[in-house]
Amino acid sequence: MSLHHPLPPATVELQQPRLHALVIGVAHYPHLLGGDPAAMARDPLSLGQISTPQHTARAIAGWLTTRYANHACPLGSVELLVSTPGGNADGTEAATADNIENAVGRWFTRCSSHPKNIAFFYYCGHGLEKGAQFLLPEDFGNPAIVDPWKNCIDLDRFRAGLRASLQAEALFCFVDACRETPFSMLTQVNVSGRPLVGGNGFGTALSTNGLYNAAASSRQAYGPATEPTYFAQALLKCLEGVASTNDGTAWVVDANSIDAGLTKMLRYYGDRVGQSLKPQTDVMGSTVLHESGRGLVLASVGCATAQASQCAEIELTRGAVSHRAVMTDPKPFERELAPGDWDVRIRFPNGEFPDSQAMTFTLLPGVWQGVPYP
Amino acid sequence: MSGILKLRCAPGVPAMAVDVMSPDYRVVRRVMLTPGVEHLVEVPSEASFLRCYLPSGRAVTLADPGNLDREITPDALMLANRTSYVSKGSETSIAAERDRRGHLEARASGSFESLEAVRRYQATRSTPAPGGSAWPPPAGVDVVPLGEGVSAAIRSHDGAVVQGSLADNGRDASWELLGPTFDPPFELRLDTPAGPVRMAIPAHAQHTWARLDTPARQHGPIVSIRMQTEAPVADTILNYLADGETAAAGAMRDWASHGESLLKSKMSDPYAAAVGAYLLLRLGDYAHLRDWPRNLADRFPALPDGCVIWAWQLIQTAPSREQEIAEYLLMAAARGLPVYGHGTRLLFDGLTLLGDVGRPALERLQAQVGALVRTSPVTMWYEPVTTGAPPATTPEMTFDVAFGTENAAL
Repeated sequence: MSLHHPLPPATVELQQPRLHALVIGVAHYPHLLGGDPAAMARDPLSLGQISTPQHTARAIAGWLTTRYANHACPLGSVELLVSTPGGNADGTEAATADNIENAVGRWFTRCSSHPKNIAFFYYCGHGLEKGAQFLLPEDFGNPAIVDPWKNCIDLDRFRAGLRASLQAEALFCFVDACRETPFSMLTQVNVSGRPLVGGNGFGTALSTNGLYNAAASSRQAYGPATEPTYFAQALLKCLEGVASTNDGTAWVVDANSIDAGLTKMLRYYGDRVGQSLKPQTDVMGSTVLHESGRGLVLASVGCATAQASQCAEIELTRGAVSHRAVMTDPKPFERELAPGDWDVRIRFPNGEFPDSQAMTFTLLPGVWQGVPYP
Repeated sequence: MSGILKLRCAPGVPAMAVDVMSPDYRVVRRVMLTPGVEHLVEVPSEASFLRCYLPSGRAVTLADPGNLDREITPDALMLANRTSYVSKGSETSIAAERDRRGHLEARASGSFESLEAVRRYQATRSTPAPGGSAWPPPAGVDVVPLGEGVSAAIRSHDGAVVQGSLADNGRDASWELLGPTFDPPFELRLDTPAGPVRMAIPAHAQHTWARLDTPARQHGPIVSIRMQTEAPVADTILNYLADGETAAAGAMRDWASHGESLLKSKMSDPYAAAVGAYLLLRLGDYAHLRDWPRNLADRFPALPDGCVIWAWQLIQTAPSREQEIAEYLLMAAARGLPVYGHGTRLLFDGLTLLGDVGRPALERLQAQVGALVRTSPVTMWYEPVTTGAPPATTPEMTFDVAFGTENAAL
């Protein structure tokens, strides 16, 4: 069973607007390099094992069930599929092509149960690109199947089907996959995948249709092995308030603010890990996804040079709230701050440089990197 | 205490989106700031402040509590861009900032240490009159070597080579692109160890810059490319959209809605009109689009984007006109890849929606591109490799493509 929340399935609310989520993490590919040698794909396309997606999928599902808030569209259900090398002790279904197809069917039906519903889709695992984009379930490349592309999902046609058929207010589609184009894929014929959802016509019920693509084109740009991907970390920070806007009544995160927030967060992570991280997004509409209740500033404070940072004490102050890094603390000094006017003071206890005066910065939700001193 | 905020900008400040913010961080109003235009905004408090979206895409805040008569100056923005902070009368800081930019120029002969440093340098450099005594270098060449086995060349639509120049620092390539704004696009070809990469350059571009860095803190080389066009507002919109700042770009919707006028004059600029139309499409502002994208589609066959925009406007507003939608999508595909990356994605999506009718055209285009560089604001792709040996194993290359700004400091 892939229904993660709520249990039992009969308690899923279908008469009122709800967010229904499908979260997929594929961290086990028995037919790709490093998998089962006796069942290796005829052409594994140079693709190997990745561990990050299991942490990512559970982090996203966990956030949805514990932190998601939207009074107009509360959480309705979360379907979770996770593939791990040893299987799932908690009974979570594996993310095979058939399981994904069945879960999509259940998720689609729930999403279409009310016109004000929000559909939330998150995929984390291998991706391929050859003109179109493909997502790889656990059993991709099964050598027992003549067509190597049978266990593959055609993301472009999947999205086209959702656009045409989904009877909901909004679709948030997060694709957290490498977009590799192995050389041997360039020479393959009949590259295809399952569209999962059919439909025809150009009409759509969706007032918001957002695609947020990680666009990482290498494994190094994907994420640490034992934590969620950089993209997922960035998204969760956005939802926690980095992408918040104040609509006059509350702090909310909407389809457009996620777009801007993801770009800033991924650029920030990219600078930290020496990768170019940038999402590729296509967003139409501005439906509110989450009521964050706050804005959040991710502040990263260092000096103009690494040498100065090493011997600096950094203090961030706003009213009675103060954060301080001493000389031996790692720099840049990172803190999550509330929006507002913050005083930053840089001191050099050993006198290498003159101490700064208090500098006041107006910080708004997002990423803030300072300060060019001395 | 509430009041009326007068807001204007001094000469030299490029067009940009500005949020007037209340002290509780609510956006009171979002305006497009242009020289010569004053905005009057009712604010809930004299402590209201401004968030300015610089043309480079970066946002800075300007606070001046108690002052309800605000003029934004280039120097104030330059300081804020450096520190997100402005103190009144800080001439010393302005001089220091200019020194810092001079320092960046001096370091440009070596590789920068990070992608962020490359971006800072390119933001400083990509203006019509770059600093540095050796700029522009006198000699032009057909193919400009960028280092690390990468070279670059630009050709016009008729195959003519546009000569480029390599600066004395051995890293900065530049091209001057002079031609009618309504010509077909130019094409930049990069020969890399991983194969040829092609990129569309709008014909209204005046300047293009490229350089290659191999930062110690970065995995693989970075090819950074900047373009500056005759339509700086269009450049700014593209930078905003590339950074996901759709809401800020929304401040430019009035400019975008005048796209029709960009198509009428003898010196029409269909590229700027297309950028405006893409923005309105993204905002769902079909009232401002009216039907002028159809003129863009019908009158400028060298710009497939017009067909894509018109088809998608119909998809969103008149989905029952299936035959016309199909006609324009297929016409776009027949004309080739759109100039703008967003257009290429919309074309692929549109042909997918056409099902069997669109499949042959879609497959033909997909075969034309080996892999799209999806983060580029203009269409960029690796040429497909169908025969021969796999390309040499090389560190992955990063392409950082953006539009330049009118003012180097912003």
